Amino acid sequence: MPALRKGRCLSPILLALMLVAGLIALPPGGRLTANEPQARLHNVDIREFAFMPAELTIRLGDAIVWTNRDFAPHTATSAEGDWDTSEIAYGQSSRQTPTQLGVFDYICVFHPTMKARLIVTR
Amino acid sequence: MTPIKTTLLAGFAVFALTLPAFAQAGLDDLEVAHAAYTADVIDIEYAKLALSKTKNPEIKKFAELMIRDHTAVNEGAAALLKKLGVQAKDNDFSKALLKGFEAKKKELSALDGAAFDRAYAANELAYHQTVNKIVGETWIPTVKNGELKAFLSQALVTFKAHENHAGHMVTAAK
Repeated sequence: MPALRKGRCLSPILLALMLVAGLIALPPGGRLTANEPQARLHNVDIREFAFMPAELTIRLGDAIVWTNRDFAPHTATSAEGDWDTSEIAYGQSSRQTPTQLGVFDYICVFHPTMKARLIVTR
Repeated sequence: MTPIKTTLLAGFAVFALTLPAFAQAGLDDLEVAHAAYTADVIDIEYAKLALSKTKNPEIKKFAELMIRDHTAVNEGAAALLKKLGVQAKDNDFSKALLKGFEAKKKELSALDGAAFDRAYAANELAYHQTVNKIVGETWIPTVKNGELKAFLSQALVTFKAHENHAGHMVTAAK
């Protein structure tokens, strides 16, 4: 995930106005950031031997959490083999933050008929 | 079809035809839970047998999958029983499943190499077809406890994926 910019020195009045106007935001860590898109968290459910959604587009810096709703353990594994959540048991989750732009087809390595696609954009 | 294959399939066909009748003979919820657990354990045992005999990487991979998935389903069953504060109840259907397993295990154990692989794959397909039919058409519609019904429905998703996988394995093993 790209580093967040450090806060600038702003007067309290200007700061309040900018907050109200939504020009700046306070992230969970409490630091002020410039008006850049916040890194988002995306959820992918694994249910009935399928990834839902089957195709997901995110921005570089966003994170994805895969949650397994099936009894059978699953993985989310790049078809190219360059990233992998490892085994996700029933009711468990795994979080990944892609570090490269691109289109990534992925599968469950245990049940390779389960296929999905992750698209990472700027 | 070779005589051995014919005998194996015929043997399972008789077993498979007998099972649904047993399954419909009024099992209560705790008996269904026991039978479902037993069916899972049996497939794990078939997989262990396969791992001890096969040299085929696809059969090995499938057997490992059966152990992984059925173990997970049975962990789910154990968790549900614990939550409900009840114990599964042994019954004639569970006993019939085990009897059928012992006979089939004996047949499979006598085979080696590709003959074993074909027979294991065929048995996995037939076993999942039979059990899935019972789970989907008899147990899920008749069990009274909502959580057990939900558990069986979720387990059936896994078993159907196995049935589909086994079908491909049968084709590949020919």
